[in-house]
Amino acid sequence: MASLRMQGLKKRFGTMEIIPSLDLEIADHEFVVFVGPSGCGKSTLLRIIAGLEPITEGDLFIGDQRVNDLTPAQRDIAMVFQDYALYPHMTVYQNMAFGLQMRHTPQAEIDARVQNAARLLDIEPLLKRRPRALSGGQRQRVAMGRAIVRDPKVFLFDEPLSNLDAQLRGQVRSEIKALSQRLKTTMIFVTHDQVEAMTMADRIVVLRGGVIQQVGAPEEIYGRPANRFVAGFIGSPSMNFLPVNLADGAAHLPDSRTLNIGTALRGTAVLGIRPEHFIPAPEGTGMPVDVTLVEPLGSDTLVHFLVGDIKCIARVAPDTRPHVGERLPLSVAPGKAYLFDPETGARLA
Amino acid sequence: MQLSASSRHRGALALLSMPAVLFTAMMVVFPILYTIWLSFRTAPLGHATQFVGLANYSQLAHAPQFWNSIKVSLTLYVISLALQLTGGTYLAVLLFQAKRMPAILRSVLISPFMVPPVVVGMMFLVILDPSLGAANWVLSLFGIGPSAWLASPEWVIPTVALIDTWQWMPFVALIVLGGLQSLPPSVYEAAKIDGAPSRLVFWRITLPLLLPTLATAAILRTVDLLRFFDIIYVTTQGGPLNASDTLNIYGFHIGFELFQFGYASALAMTLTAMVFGVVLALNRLRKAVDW
Amino acid sequence: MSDRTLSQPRREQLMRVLVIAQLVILAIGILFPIAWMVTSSFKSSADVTAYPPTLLFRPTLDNYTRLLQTTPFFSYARNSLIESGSSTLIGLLLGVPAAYAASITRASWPALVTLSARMAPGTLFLIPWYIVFRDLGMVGTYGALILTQAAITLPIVIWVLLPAFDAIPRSILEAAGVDGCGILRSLWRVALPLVSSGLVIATILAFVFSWNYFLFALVLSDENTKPLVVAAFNYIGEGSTDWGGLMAAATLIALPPLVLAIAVQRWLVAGLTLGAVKG
Repeated sequence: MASLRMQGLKKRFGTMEIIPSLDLEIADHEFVVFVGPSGCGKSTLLRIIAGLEPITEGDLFIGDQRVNDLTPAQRDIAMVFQDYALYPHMTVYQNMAFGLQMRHTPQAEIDARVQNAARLLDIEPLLKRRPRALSGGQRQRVAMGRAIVRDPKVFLFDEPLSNLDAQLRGQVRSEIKALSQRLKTTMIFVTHDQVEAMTMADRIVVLRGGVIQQVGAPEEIYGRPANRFVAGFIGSPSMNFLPVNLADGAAHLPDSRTLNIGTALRGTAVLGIRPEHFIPAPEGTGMPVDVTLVEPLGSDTLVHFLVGDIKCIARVAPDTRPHVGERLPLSVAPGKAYLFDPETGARLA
Repeated sequence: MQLSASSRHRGALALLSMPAVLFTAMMVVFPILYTIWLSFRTAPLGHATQFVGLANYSQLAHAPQFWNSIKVSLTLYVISLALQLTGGTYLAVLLFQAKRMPAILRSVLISPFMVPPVVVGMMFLVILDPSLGAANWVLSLFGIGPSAWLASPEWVIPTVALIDTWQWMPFVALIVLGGLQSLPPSVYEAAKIDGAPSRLVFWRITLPLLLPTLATAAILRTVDLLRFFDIIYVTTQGGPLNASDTLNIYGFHIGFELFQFGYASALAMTLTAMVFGVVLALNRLRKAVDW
Repeated sequence: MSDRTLSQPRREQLMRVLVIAQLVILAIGILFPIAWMVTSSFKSSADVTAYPPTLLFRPTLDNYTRLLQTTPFFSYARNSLIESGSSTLIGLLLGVPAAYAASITRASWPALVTLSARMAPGTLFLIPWYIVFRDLGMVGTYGALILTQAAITLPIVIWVLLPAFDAIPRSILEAAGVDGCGILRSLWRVALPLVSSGLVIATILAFVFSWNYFLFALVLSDENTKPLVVAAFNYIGEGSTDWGGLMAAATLIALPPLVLAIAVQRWLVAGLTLGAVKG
């Protein structure tokens, strides 16, 4: 009922093209995350869906209805803002009730819905307070409560976790995820944080320069990135990229070493290896690297090394503790070497 | 080492403020104390002062002219403040909607409150002249009969309020504009999504959020309005028939035309207390609405 | 192109035109008295008292030449300049270090003084000043006028600069201290450059308010030390029939503050309100 469809959607600010032309369908009840670096157009796209930015060209459908000409209020969406945008002069209760009052909802129902949402979010004791008297996490909940009481067709989240400290962020992240499964409403969540994207989304939309790079489930985005950009953006630390020459099933590295990756391709390519896909090889096999820095993280250890003059990182088991300057043989987990076209960045294998 | 350095530091800081402290003691604190002292004494010109207790204050309480001045001052204050806050807010909303403010427009807005009040008085004497003034001519263009303006006991206070509003409404508008510009845009967007029509947004969101700014503007204007002097002294000197005899005009008359310094001191203290009281009340209001 | 992109800008355009129309009307209303004063000053004595008023007239400099020839306008102007200039200088010399020290030590007395100087009516100060200056034989001297006007300029300087100094991150001043700057040198080399625009505003506001201030000079000046605003008030009595001359004087007196204020217009209102918002 509340699916979303964008057809040939374009957005220009003056002569600046923010979104060249975008097609996307979002299914009912789906939790979709728009992710990308700052300036990739993800927030603009969200604001277009909200009706806060006019569409330059193309169509936007919510359900079967074309909503290009509808005001934000008519679109029946709710939005959680990055700075929460609570009304500072209203109590928590009034903040949550305001949208319903504007829709002339009967007072008894407003009351029931606000109480219900407050219970759901565990903010019942705060209903009489003003936003100033709330912590960041509490404000965040009120902002969500304001969206929930509206029972909208679509929930929009504009980087709602970026103002929370790291610990709280993890907690709220799982709460939003749980909430989405409970409310069964279409949700669109914008973030620049790939961890948020990976952990919450049913589907991730990776954006860059207003162009969709890839749409897919988290494991698909991670496991089969469409191109070098997606591969580099998703995953932390980032994938290592090395220009290579392919011949005889092996990749020849810039410093004329060879890494056996078993590929049928030939010619120049960019080899991509995620840090976690390096594995220490038995002495005398694999590719020996000179360790330049060791970062023990507890759960595992990051080993920095150079291939030619390219900095690379391997994530290895925590009990592997090489010393700086030590020579460590590494190999690549089978089937985990990605190859990209050096010109277009598209994935070859 | 640390201690001596920091005490030297503090000594240097004290030294920096010393000249201002001395000046203030001499030119501000001493006069206030002296006036308090004088308000309990008679101080006829050329004679020694003499303690009279509360006589000056009780004389004040029994002087019909004092109560007239209170009425005049408060009437002028209320009319002017109401005009300036509503007009200023209206002008500020327009400026906010126009988004850009050309330098020429800003110059126009700044000009009135930078003109010396004496000059303001002079120009309105000419413009509001009952027989030859431009104001009556403009009214006649709209088919409205002439007014005596400053020469009319009924109209003199509204007229002075209009003059002061001409001078200070743009100032209030610029303050309110600053307040409008500092309101978070996302709150407006949230209101849009909540479905509030724009008129409701103004009354339910914008205006409540502007209250601290409006209170600040009100405080700044209160301080000047309750002490109103220059323009009235230049134009009507408190007339006609004492109809524009504000507390400060009355006090000046007693002090520097009749030279009853004790009585004038009691009046000055009363006026100061009034200003303090109103400003304190407004300041509490401002804190209460500082969301 | 969808309907929205066509109709939305048109609606916005209409709104814009309405807003600008209202602003233009208001601006004309605000400008009118000043424009009337200036045009009247260029009218002949017949034109200036004509009713209905003449809108088209042959401009003349008669009013100005008569004003400058028959009255000691220039000596009044010199008095204004001496009194406003000196009191502004005193205000800065006393106020800048005091505001800086108060900002660092978080002392509240300067704010309090500023506040009481702004709230008390002029007569409250004037009565004791008059008595003391009379006893000292100083009534009518530049000294008395400069000192009393400095009681106007000092609070303005503190009012503008205190929040400006407060806005400097403490770490910058601490860094200057670590780098070996004493109090005076960190004020001169670090703090003052950082508040330079505040300093300009403080100077101009102090000068303008001192130039415009009427009451103290009304009582404490004599014929030789009378500033323009007081002299102008006397013109009203003498020249009640000479509107042209009156408006010429008014225009000349208003000119310096207007020019100064417009030169710094962008920061002016912030300078006038900052102290209030902080207090």
